[in-house]
Amino acid sequence: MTVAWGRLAIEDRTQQLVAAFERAVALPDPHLFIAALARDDAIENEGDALDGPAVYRLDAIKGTFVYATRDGRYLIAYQRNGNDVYIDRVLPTRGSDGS
Amino acid sequence: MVDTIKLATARELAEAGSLRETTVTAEAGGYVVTFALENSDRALATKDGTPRIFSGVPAAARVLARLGITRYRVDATATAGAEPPRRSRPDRARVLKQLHEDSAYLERIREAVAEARADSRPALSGSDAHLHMAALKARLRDDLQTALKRRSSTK
Repeated sequence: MTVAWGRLAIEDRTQQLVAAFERAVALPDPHLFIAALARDDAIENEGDALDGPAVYRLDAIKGTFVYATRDGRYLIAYQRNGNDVYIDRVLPTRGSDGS
Repeated sequence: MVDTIKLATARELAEAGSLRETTVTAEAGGYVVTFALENSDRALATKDGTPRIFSGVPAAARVLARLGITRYRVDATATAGAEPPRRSRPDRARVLKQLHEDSAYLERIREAVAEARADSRPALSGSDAHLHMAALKARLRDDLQTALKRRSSTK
């Protein structure tokens, strides 16, 4: 039972943190960045738990499972081989810019 | 919220003679068809269960004719007799817009996933990913503190 994070999934997470960092500096309001840190922690925890029960499989993309984070802001697209999980992307859900 | 009835059910009730009265009611965005049943009134619904809005009485009449209903009342009280602004199936337009947005979003996911599958760089294990992100977060946290201090000292 393993979870691996693809490089683009890591870059997706990095992008949301950097964007929040830039907003926090621009406003300035450190809470924006603190909230983004909490969101990323949640993404990591929820992603690392995807080797448990299988969730929704998106038939429109062959072999891709999707998981919406509990806050509804992000969608984790991943592949699954038995209990081994490979996370492809972490994308904002439709209608959410993730911030 | 008005109770609704789907077209297939309305057809069955019409065939059974259970529709007591049919009313085409003008509303701000178009016309709604309502059936008086034994104990309640029901509005004709779209497939997703929301009241179906017709662009005009003729459009509603065409659907009613397919149900075998040719006698109905038109109630234009809400618009004081005036024609509601004509729009082509506003409810349908909404559904189509939603479908378009859904398919565009799906396409974005598909492209993003394809990009990830084409990426030959090795993935990070859960613990390596954690360390990588923890280092990034620490660096950004320090940079933020520095940037905010700099801003407050220049005020």
